[in-house]
Formats: sequence, C-alpha cells, structure tokens
Amino acid sequence: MKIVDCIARIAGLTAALAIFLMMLLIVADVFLRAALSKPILGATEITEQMMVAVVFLGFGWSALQGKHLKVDLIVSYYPQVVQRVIDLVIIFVGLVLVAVMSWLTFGATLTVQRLGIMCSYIGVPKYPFYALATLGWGVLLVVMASLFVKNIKDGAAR
Amino acid sequence: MSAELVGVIGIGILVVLLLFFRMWIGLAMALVGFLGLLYLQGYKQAFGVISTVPYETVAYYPMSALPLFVLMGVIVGNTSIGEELYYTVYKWVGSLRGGLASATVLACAVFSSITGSSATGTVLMTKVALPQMRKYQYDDALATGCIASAGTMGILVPPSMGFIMYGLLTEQSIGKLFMAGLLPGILLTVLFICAITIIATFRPEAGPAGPMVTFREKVVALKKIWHVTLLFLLVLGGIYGGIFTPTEAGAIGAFGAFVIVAITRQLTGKIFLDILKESVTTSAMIFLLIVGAFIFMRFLGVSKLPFALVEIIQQLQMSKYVIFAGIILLYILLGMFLEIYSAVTFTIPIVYPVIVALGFDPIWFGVVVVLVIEIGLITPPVGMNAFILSGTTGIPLATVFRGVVPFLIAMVVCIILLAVFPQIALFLPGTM
Repeated sequence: MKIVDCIARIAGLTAALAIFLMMLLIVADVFLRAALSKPILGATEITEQMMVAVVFLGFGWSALQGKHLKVDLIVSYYPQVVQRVIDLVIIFVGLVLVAVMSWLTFGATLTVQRLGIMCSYIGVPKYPFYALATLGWGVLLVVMASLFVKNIKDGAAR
Repeated sequence: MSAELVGVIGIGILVVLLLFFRMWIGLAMALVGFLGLLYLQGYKQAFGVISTVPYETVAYYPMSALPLFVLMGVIVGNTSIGEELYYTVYKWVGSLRGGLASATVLACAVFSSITGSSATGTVLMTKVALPQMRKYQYDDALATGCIASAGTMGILVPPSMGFIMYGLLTEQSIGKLFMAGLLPGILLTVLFICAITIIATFRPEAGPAGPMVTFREKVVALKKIWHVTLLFLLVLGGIYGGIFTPTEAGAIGAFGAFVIVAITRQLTGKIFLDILKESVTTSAMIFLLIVGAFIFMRFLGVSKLPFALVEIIQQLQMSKYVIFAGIILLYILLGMFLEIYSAVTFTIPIVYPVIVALGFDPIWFGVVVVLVIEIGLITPPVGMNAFILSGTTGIPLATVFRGVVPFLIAMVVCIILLAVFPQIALFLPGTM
C-alpha cells in the first residue's frame, strides 16, 4: 500500500502548494488594487482554477487520514463482524460511485477539449483543469480501493 | 410515483445510509442525488450533473473563502497565540470569584474572532485553562462545562466556518453573516459570564478566586495580544470598510497569520508543512460534503419536494413561530448527532425554502441555526466538544454534561432574545 500512500501524498502536497499560492495571489491582487488601483487581471479566474487543485487533489489524502465525515453513532454498537461487513459493502458502493464520477469527469474533460471551451478572461483552455478534477477523483478511487483491500486483509487476519 | 414522493424516499434512504451504514456523508448525498436524478430524469441528465456539478461547484470564486479561512484557523491553532491570549485575559479577571472560568469564556470569545471552528478553542482551553482551574480547585463540572460551552463560540463569532457554509449554500452574503454573528457572540459571552457569576455566588467553593494581580501587571499583559487584535481588525475591519470582500478576507487573514508567526519566530519548516497539510485535508473533507450537497440539491430541486413542503406548511395556517420552533427542535436533535458542516449541508436544501417562504430574514436565521447547532455540540449523546474534553482529560463524560447545563440555559436565553429582538443580529449587517 506504500504506492497508494505515495500517490495520495504527492497529490496532497500539490494541493498544499496550490492553497499557498492561491493565498499569495489574492493578497497581491487586493494589495495592488487597494494601493495602486492596478488589480491582477484575471486573478478571480486563476483562483477558481487553483481551487480545483486545492480541493480535488486533497480528496485522497483526506480519505487516507480518515478525515471524511461519517455518523458513527449506531453502527459502533453493532458486533465487530457486522461492522466489518458493513464497512466493506459501503466502501464498495462508494468505490463504484467514485469510479462513475471519475469516468464521467473524464468524459467532460474530453467534451470541453473538443468544444474548445476557454477561461473567458485569461484565455486558457479549461480542459486541463477538468483533467485535474478527474485526477483527483482517480486518486480518491485508488485510496478507497486500498482501504477496501485492507479491510478484507484485516478481516482474514482475524 | 410522484416526484415529491421520490424526494421523500431519497431523504429516507440518505438517513439510513448515514445512520445505519456510516457512509461518508458527502458520498451518501452524492449517491442519493445521482440515483434520484437517474430515476426522475434519466441517465443523460444524471450523468450530466455528475460530470459537471463537482467541477462547477469547486471552481467558483466565493468558494475559495473556505480553504483560506481554514488555513487561517490552522495557523493560529498551531501557535502560542491562543495561549498568550488566555494568560492576558486571566490577569484581568482571574482574581475575581469564578474569574478563571470567566477568563476562559472571554479568551475563547476573542480567540473565536481569529479562528472559525469550535474544536480549536476547546482543545486550546483544555490544554491551557483547565490546569489553572484545577490548581485553584475549581469544581470539575464548572471547569469542563465552561470550556466545552465557550469553545462552541468558534462557529458563532466571525469569521465562522458555519456562516461560510450557510452563505455558500443559500447564496447569502458571507460578509453580512459575519457581521450578524458579532453582537450575538458578545451577548452569549455576557450570558456565559453571568452563568458563571451566579454559580460562583451560590457555590463559592465551585469557583474560588485566583491570585491577585496589580494594575501595572494587567496593563503590561495587554501587549501580548497585539497579534489577535491586529488579525481581528485586519479581517473584519477590511470587510466592514469595503477594502476587500469576505472571500478575499480569508487570504488576507491567512497571510496576516503567517506574517505574525514568522515575526514571532514560531514558523519552522515542519510547522509550515503541517499547517498546509491540515488545511488541505480539512478543506477536502468539507468540500466532499459540499459537492455531495450540491448534487443532492439538484435532485431535491427536480423532485420539487421543497416547494411542496412550503405549500403544505402554508396550508397549515399555523403561526410561523410554531413552525420555527419545530425547525429549531429539529436542529437541536440533528446537532446531537451531526457536527456543524454536516448539519448545515444536510438540512439547508430542505429547510431554507420554508424559512424564506415564512418571511423570516435569511441572515437572522443563519445566526439562529449556528447558535442551535452550538447547543448540539455540548448535549448528549454526541456532544462533540464534550467528547473532546472528556477524551483528552479523562474527566467522566457525565461530569462534563452536568457542567454544561447552566451554559445550555444561557444559550436558550440567547436564542429567545434573538427571536424577540432580531435586531441583535440584523443591526450591524444593516449598516453595511
């Protein structure tokens, strides 16, 4: 599973870099606008595309650290075996859903590329950012698959 | 089957998935939304929503406020800013009867003005204030009750993650919501201190006075809170003065916090990486919820359930305050099981149209929702703040829950005052 950790970590660190750069960009934009009346052209659109990196690339890392929220109230009272089975089924259902989301976002990437859709102000094609979103879903998919396998292994070990 | 009925079944399935199968909340909402759309509109529409809504939701400028305010909160939480704040307030009020508990409440309220979550304040005060109160033999129930309750102010006093989430989901001005939370935050602080004073008056042994401090020492201590004052003025002053938008305020606040920790030599390479790491994972966690909520909202919109609900409620010809009380009760119950982000994303698509149709002010309602969810953070069975406190100190959960009762009463009084005098929340936003 080291490879999965590594993939999620690299994606997460890219998201970390993006959040820091996004902060600097907005601060520079505000400063230049307030002090010199010369805002950075297209700062809003650049921020929007940076958000794609910040959020989607962080999904996998967050999952790996067990940060995604769930309600533990009732299930925690079930017997251990039942809990394990439920977790397996639910991870599998989530896995299928994320696979569908990855596939459809990939489809959207190709459509956006084919139609030549651009960011209206900065004039950059939008498809690389859709591709980034696809990548983010993909990383989450890989992490969830690793969690699924880990659950099966843990169950077998017991 | 009518579309509205499909909506009801969808909500039912969502509740089952969340409570009985502990599915990730964001994914559960996305799944139910996707399947509902598939049933109601066919695969083309459903696939269209799944392929575009996540990207469009995230790549939307106002959304950038969320990760940046998270970043600001994480920076502040990773430094000694909060600790210094507590010791300063402690010098001013610690020598009064129940003063250490009052200092905790005050420090939490001020600390909340530079962070947006409740857990940060609770963890900090558990580390800093609890040992002091134990040293002066405070009653465990009072000590833990005041920390758990004061910690909840993190989501009421601006900048608040609760308001940002509410604003993004309802398209209300985040700036106005921030301003709306300020006076209720002060009111709640006063009510909490009143509760402590009453306890300490009737049971002096529960909250003995701390050591005496000279006036000179008090004044000298003030210089340690320059960073908190600066950050607070920078963020809220900038928004209020129209220098930058609430969205940009997150970046300005995070940058200001970075500069402060750099100047005070608290920023090492490891801390820098830890800060960014925590910000990214927390932001991703919140955004999975938001993406799920937006897909779910599309489904609910197609099912027309919220409109049907509004119609039913209008036909009931009941006083709008009775319905409002019912909604508040629902939130108190939900707050017992869910934390702020989940409770807001899960309910707003259904409740918000009803509230607007009843003629309540959406900004005012945002404040009330946050207050009510605060109650959920300290009430059994799943009072998150109480859990944090009990888990980190080993003090029995029952003691913590017993200790929060007076503060719970203070919160209910605050909600009643807000319902009777909505201007408490609406005065400041009205001046913007």
